[in-house]
Amino acid sequence: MSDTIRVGIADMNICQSPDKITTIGLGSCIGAVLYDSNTRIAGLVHIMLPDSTKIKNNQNKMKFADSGIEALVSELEKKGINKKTLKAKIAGGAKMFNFSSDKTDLGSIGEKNIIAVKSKLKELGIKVVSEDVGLSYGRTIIFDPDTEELTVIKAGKQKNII
Amino acid sequence: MSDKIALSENVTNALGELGNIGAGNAATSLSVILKSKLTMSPPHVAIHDFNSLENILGGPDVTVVGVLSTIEGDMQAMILFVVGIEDAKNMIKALLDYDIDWQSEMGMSAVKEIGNIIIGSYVASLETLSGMKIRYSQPESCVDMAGAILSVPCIEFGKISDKALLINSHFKAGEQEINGYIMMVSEIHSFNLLLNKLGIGGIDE
Repeated sequence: MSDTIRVGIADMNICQSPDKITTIGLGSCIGAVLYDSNTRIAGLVHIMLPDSTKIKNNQNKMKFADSGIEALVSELEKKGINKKTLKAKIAGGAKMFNFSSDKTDLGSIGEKNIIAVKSKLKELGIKVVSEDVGLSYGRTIIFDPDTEELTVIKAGKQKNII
Repeated sequence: MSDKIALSENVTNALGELGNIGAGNAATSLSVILKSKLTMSPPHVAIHDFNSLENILGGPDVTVVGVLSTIEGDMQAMILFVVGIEDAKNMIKALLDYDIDWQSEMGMSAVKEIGNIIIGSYVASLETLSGMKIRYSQPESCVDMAGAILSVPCIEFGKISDKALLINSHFKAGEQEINGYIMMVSEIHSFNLLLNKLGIGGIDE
């Protein structure tokens, strides 16, 4: 029997094969999966915003790309996994509504999230193996640590396995 | 994170009434366009954390049509008008009196226009009741998963808080079988500014 562990917005969790891990309805948010091939353990963090240092209310580490990925890595390290063996797959960062106001970053937050996630992963030396990011549609993602496949489902149920 | 913060009865009533009048005016405009009677349920006022917010539209992976406008000026908020796909089709049909592909440019522009009228009347009643000066942006539309659409206000107000206050009104249009939601989402500080203008004590921030 295997379970699929659900991760909410601005949240994270860890699973081990045969279990899978999922997050539903990513818009401009990003789902970052970090996984280790030896132990078949994977973690998923659902981040909303790029940078915790630019925001006063930053207690919830999982909300931000920088602190969220760090929190997930440290959680995986607690399981005895070496950071150097971790690989990443990422999805999300869409532009949901076509706003072009310069007063808010409503139109560009997805892109900022993508850049922030990639730069944090690079800083930690974690390779992005594959990605399905940007564009203008929402995504539900499911990661299977056994096959190391990330299934990306769009509205209307089209699937893309990366 | 706790699921909900308790709101005082005064605050719930005031915001509920505000939502009632806002959505009521919006529904009146909609019933004129759709040439059909509209019934409205009393608005639901609650503070949600982001994870409970996504369940109000029938689950985060249900495909819906959303029209969103941002409110700026004396307060900041977003107004989101959401209908299901069948509801959007019926709405377009009622508006145009003939069948077109609902996802065509024409179809989506009809949905956006309906959203524009609804949001416009909502904002107008908000201004009249509160005396606040408020501008609203040109609405934009999107067809996607409810979770992905709702993440947009969550991200915007996530910069300030982990919780959002939501006034949600549900309406139903007679023979057209149109079910929809009009919701105003903001962080608590903006709602406190609004409550102060109405002469009612605020909510703990």
